[in-house]
Amino acid sequence: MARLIGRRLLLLVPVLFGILVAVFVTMRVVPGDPARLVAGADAGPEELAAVRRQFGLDRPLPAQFAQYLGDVIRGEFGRSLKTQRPVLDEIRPRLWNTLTLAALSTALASGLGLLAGIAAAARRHSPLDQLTMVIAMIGVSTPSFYLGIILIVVFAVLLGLLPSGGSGGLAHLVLPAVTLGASTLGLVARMTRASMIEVLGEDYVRTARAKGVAEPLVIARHALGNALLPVIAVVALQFGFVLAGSVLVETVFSFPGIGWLIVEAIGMRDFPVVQGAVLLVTFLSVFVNLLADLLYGWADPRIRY
Amino acid sequence: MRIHGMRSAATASIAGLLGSLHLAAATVAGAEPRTGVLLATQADAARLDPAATGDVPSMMVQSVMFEGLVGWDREQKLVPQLAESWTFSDGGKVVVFKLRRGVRFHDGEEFDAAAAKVNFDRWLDKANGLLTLSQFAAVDHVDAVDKFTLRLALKEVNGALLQTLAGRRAMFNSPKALAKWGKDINLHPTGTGPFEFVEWVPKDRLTVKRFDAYWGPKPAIDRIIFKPVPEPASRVAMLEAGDADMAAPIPVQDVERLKGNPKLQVMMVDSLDNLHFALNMQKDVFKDARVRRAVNYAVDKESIVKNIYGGLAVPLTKSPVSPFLWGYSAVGDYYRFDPAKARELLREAGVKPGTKLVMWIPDGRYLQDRQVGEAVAGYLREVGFDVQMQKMEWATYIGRLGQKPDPVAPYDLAMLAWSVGTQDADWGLGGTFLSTNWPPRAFNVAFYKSDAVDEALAAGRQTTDAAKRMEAYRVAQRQIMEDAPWLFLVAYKFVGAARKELQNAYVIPFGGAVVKDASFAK
Repeated sequence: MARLIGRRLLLLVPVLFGILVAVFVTMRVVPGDPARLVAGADAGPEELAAVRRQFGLDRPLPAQFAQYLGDVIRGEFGRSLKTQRPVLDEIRPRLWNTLTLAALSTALASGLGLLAGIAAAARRHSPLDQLTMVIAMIGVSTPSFYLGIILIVVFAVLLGLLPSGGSGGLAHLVLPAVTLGASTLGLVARMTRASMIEVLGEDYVRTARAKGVAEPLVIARHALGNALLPVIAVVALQFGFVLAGSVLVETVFSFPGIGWLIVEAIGMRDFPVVQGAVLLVTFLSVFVNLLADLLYGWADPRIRY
Repeated sequence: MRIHGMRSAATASIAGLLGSLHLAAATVAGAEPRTGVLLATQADAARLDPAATGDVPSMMVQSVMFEGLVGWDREQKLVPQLAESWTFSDGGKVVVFKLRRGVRFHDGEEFDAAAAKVNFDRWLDKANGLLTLSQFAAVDHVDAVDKFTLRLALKEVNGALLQTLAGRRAMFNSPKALAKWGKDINLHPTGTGPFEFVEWVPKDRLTVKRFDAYWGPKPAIDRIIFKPVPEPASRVAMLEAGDADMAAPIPVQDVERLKGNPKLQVMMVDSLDNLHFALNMQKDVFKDARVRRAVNYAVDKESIVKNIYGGLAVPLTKSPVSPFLWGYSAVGDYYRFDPAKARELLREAGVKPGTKLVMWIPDGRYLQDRQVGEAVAGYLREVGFDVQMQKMEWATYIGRLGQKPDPVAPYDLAMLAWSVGTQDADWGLGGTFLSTNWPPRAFNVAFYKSDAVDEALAAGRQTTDAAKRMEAYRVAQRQIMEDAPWLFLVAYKFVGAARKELQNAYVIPFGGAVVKDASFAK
């Protein structure tokens, strides 16, 4: 296991370097001048030149890259071109917000999805099964920005139960977490159901039932453990999608997270913020996938690293 | 049965828990009369140093914390702010300001001529790289004559000087704070305005509170929270749900519904944004004035106002600029919708049916920009053009538009709205029509060159006599309407909405909402 972790962490270095180069180059190849965007359309050429000089954008690209790489290695991510704050100060509070949101929505989605999937598999072809699968289908296929607006209208405007957006406390997390988790929930429910149905047809389940084990115990002890493996894989993969999905959901709910930050930073060509945030998100995705691999080992004793 | 009962009990208790969480927050705010305003805005502020600011959301936040020598009132008239009076001498090359006494910065420092000079010197120092450089290029030096007299010596007369001083960048920071924070002054705004800075949680909220030592009338509200809500539908929902006291801007399609809501009021104002297509005069097709006029006749601006803006816009048929720009004159009634005349002009000019036009549009920058683009493309196809639309995200768009042409800019028509913080015709017309302002210098993206316009704009700049300036700009506007370097479209309205009981809150032509003078009705 230590070897696995060590190898994965070593692998992070080329991955992060590749991402760094890709983001650095992409941001500079696309048209758009951060100086112009910061200074405003009505700024004069003297201002533009001054802003470029201030940001070091007047220097040749290789020099800018070398400088940036050196800074990153020392743990310096530079300052936002837009707000002039250190990039880490921009990212840190929002990364925390997004992680809370992503964790809550993943927990909610996989918990509820598991329950729904198990129930559907246990009562296959019953109205419960069909209802669950229809809801799962809706969850998978509704675009999150649309679902988000509908939830705001129903729960904030009409019922007045939950805040319409922003951050601060658990109540503010509910609607974004549900919106963000909807597609994962649907996916997990369908995966669990399929996987459970397959396992429930296995010999050892028939044996368990034949020797008189009560049905709830058959499902919980004998079937679920074996049906869990593909579900873990899905949840881990979904975490990346949840981070990506937060881009839309955070905008709809004006939730101050990293998705909104990245979108706005791209729109402003705020190079240091985009670079720093993408690096961190990449790091996280790799990390979560490593965690999933370790979980496989726990769920399936046959897997050893 | 039991299971069913348990489940509904669980559902009820979850709903109850969530409800109580939210209600708890609501009752804390609702227990006493409302004294603070939560304003839902389009975007977070970028910067809190006025001299380094180029965006409307930042300027909106700064306008409650900072003041300059001159300001704008609600009717967009220039009014004295930290200067009580001023006199021009030496043919307009020297201006002396008598400063207001008894003004304090938020850190307790006194505002006087020395403090003003420190700020001017900072704005004019090239090493600081501030956005005040070319605005005040005409200023040679600034002296504190005595404690409350400030003297500006100019290199040349600048007719737009007062408007530039009121133009939202020339607002004063405390010299002590400037010395203390250095480059980080951006995060420690220390002005003289009616509200002082409390905290800024980026993308979440920016809070200011009433400044008790303010020299002018004390605000009725004790606190303003600026809350960025980028998604327009969410912004409106926040207001309807009662989570915000005011929201701006409001999308066109929501205006009628909000007007019908008895708890809300809708307010609007003509914006400074003059939406138009620049007609690229480097291209052969638009070198001929008849073709440019034909394009103007071909588009039904009244219909765009009615059907795309729901009536919330004015067609630009009398001037290329918005009525709120200082220097605006209605110079006639140009280019009423007349497709037959458009076809005739095109025939005269020898433009063949099927002539290709490349149209550039920034997607999502201006109110209803995409819809207007589609409509205009449709009208131009009606008179025989083959229009190819190219939509771009704003950063790409403004970057490509502002580039030096190589050797000819690639578009035939490019959409733009030119709104200037000075609210003055000098840069309001000059930035887009002076022949010296072709890109990359500024945004004369029609590559228009008219000696008459160049001369008129120069004349308007070279005097401080308001009547003479107005006349110079009138001449320029008429020449521009005649020459038609643009397809003139509309100046749309900015719309905001607020709780009914919020009084004296309004929206301004430059964009954004003003709530510093607001109060809650009992």
